[in-house]
Amino acid sequence: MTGVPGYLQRHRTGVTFAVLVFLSLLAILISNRNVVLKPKEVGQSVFSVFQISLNGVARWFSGTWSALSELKRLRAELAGAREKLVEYERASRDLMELRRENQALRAQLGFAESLTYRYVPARLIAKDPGNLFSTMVLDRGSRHGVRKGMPVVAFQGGLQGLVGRVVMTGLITSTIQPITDPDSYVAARLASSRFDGLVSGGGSGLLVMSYVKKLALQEVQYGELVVTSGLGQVFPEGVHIGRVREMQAKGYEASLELEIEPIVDFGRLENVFILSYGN
Amino acid sequence: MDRELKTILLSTLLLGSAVLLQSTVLRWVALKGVKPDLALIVLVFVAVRRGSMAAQASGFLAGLLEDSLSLSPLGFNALLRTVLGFFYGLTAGSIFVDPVLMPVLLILVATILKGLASCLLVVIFRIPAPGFQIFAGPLWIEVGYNALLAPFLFALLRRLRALAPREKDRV
Repeated sequence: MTGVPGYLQRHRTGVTFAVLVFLSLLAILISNRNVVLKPKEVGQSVFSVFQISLNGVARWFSGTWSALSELKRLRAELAGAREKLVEYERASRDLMELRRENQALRAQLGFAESLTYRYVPARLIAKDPGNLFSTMVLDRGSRHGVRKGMPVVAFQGGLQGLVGRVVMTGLITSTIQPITDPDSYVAARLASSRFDGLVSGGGSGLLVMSYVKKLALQEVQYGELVVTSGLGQVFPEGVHIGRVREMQAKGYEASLELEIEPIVDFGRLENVFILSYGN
Repeated sequence: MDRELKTILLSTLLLGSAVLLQSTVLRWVALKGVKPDLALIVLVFVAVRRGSMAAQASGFLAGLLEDSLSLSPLGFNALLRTVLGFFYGLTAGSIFVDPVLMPVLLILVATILKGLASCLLVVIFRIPAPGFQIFAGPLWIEVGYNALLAPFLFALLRRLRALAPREKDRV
């Protein structure tokens, strides 16, 4: 064989290499996040079946293993829970009273009704296969009413902490962009001193709150809670994000930069809630 | 079926399974959040045993699968695995792979090269990657984890007759 076909046949490994590298580079260029979502969504829907199966098998083994000790612990917890239930019933009555009072006060002040969210429970079934990205996959998808952009929260240590938001939905799974991702931005507010800022992922599992007025330096306390401000209407107002760990005030900058430790421990995250709005 | 095509299909299946394991089961054995890269170990094994063609093709396909399960841009892992598969495949037939030392060395170098190439892509394409820390702790944990697992995984993969070295590559 001579000519171009002969050349291609002789160097087919090199030619294949060049074609594959070209295709990969092209894909990176046009897909750098959110642009090429369709092929990825199809891929996610197909391969999530395997992820769910593998996760199920692994859970079955670990569940069986710990079932016996769990039973013993549960008995002790049941006794404690019964006592707590009595307390909570009392607290619930108080809460109803407070809610009625709050509604009455809001009506008097003329506040608009805030958005109501439905909590869709979901389980974390997979994480990123590599160590460079922070993907999380949940076992709820478009079939369960999950849509792109919905906020995700988790309850840890008695607080409702912000986890992230849905960036991609398959039929039965959805992909979450955690707040620790450098490409994630959350409108935030310091809970006590009431200064606003923007929280984004800062690497090593920490968060950075920027654009906080320098004036805040006098008032912000270490350990102060940071919550969502509700501005931008992506995340509901008042969800806990983290606590202030470090403060940086550079002379040449007009604003402060705060290092925030997330409320949610992403290493031991298993169950979360997707906040679904609308119908 | 053509032997090369059969090898590509089998190694893609193995690499794909490794990627799925990494995203599900292996997160429970992660050290400080760092998981071993089983797919890289399988890729290097295929490359040194069956050459560039099988390694780059299966690396590309498994990389695409990895990208579809990740927040990485489509093509990111496909490119890394294609390039590593191709260059490691060039060594097929020219090195003797003993049961312990060579697997450890090959995987050690491959993980560092993967780390460097990832950094290069993150910087060039300005990809937002939270785990990006050049030559920081996570990379060395992954290097150690992969190197430790390499001899065991190589021993397991050697049992697959379809991945035996080609006649011309026997050392």
